[in-house]
Amino acid sequence: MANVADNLTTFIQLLSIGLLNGGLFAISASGLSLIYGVQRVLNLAHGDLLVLSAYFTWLFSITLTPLLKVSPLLAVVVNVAAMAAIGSVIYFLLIDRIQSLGFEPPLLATFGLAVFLQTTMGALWTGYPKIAQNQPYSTTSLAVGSILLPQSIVIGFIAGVIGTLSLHFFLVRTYFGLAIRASSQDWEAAEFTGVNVRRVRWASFALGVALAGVGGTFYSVTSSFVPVSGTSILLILLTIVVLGGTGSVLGTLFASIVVGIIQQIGAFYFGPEVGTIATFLAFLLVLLVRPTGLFGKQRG
Amino acid sequence: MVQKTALGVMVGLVSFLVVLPITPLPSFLYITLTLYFVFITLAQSWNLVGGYSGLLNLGHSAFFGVGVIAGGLATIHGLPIYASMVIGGAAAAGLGLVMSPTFRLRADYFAIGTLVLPAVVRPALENLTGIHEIIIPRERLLFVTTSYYVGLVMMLVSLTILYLVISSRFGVALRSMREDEDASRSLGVNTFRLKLLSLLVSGFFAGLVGGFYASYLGFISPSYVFSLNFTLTPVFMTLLGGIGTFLGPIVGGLVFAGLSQVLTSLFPGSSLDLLIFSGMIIFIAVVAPRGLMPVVRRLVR
Repeated sequence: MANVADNLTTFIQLLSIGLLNGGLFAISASGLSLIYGVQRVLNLAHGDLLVLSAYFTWLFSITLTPLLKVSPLLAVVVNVAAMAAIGSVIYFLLIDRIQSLGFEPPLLATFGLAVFLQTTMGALWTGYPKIAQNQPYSTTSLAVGSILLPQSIVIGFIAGVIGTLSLHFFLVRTYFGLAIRASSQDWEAAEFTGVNVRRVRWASFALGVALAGVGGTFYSVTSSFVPVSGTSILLILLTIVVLGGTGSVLGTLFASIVVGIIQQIGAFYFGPEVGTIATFLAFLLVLLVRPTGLFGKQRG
Repeated sequence: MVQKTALGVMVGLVSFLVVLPITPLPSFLYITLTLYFVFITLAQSWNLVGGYSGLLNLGHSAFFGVGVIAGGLATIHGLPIYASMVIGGAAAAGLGLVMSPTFRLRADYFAIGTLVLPAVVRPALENLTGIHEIIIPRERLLFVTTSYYVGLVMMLVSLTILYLVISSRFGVALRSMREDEDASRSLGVNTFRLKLLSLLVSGFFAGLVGGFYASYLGFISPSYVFSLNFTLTPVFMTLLGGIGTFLGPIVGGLVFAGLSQVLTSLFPGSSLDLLIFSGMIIFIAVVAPRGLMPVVRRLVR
């Protein structure tokens, strides 16, 4: 009897960690989804931009944190600004020039950018794993009954959910959000009704990259990372975006949580690699059965 | 006229490569050249799907990697090198068959699906077979010169077959499908079958190269052969020379080979070459999406 209870506790523990991790992914995934939804550009450098902001957080944690006695999570302010700026540069130098040429040139350009970022980060910060020490959060856990929840993951989850919900209401309730949604459905029609589509695309690209910055901040205090971590992060984010369906922020949130749970449970019961395989198999299956994702809107 | 010049250059280049080993050059040179035979063949096999069919395959290393594992295992079990290469090719073509349902996807989703492919296939293979490394026994390793000639034969035969495929009716059908899939389908062309065949042929040659690479390297870890490098380099070579042209991967491969040799000898041990190559990919995508070949052609005229 005690054994069953133990197993159940383990299961619930895994379920909650998976859920919390999923919420953490949601914010970066919705950034990727936003960029894809508005400009039909798949940003293959998204994971590396996330890792870049994780490095910024790590730098913050070893310089400003001991100096000013502030939490490294405050780096989120710096990261959002820096990533929005970097996103704007990428948009005007690359994406804006080639997105009318079809889906291949932007894909290749962001692929090149991904390798460029990985190489640069490798040269600057070596391949040695880093993690932003986040005292006191890193070391403490919240106990709910017999279930332990590391505090940094809980904070990341809360930030992820709040961020994703704010994005949802921004897109649904504000005029600019309306313009973004209109441009993603039919940019020519949006242009005719007086929407400055180019500005919308720029803003959504910068916002999408800034969301990767938020994700990177929380990622850096919960997991250790290396310069090439971006590739595997990108694959997880892509899975989430496809599962959730582009153009649906709430779908992305839900898919993030599903992916987080599949990964935890698969990894615990069948080995770390199985979690990844299970996630990607789920991804390929959904892609085949419903190419628009679980919550995606049908497109013409 | 241009074609005759190209043919002349090709014949000259091939005869040069055939007689080269009689000169007393250091063996690392042949090892390096053999590596470029590997990459040029890999690039041309990618070009068939990525360039001619218009399916952006971002997971070519999965086909290559399957070929390395299957070919390596065949070599360990005593098969001669050419047989191992064919087995590697057949295994990779099998992966193409498994991938076939993804053709129903829109083009950009196909790209995402293939990007994920190596991350699924490698751990799946490792868990199923329990193989985490392959070591070719010493007595089955190829001598440097043998390896050079096997690689050269592999490249020449593969390029010839791929050239025949591309210039056949099948190749024309692929190109018309790339230009306008709906138009092809409305003329009664079975585009699913075209895509499947092109992926089977492309996968076969990627696996063939893999089967050779196993014996070339001798020691293989799956995480290396499934890595981004074996997708990135062929794609880069093809883009450099011109995607969807037969000469593209070859010219791009030669330029790439020269460039990377110069860069590694100028800046040994640094990752500056990767930095420059990734910068060039961005540059090509933004400024010259059709590659270097149109520029070269303009110069020839």
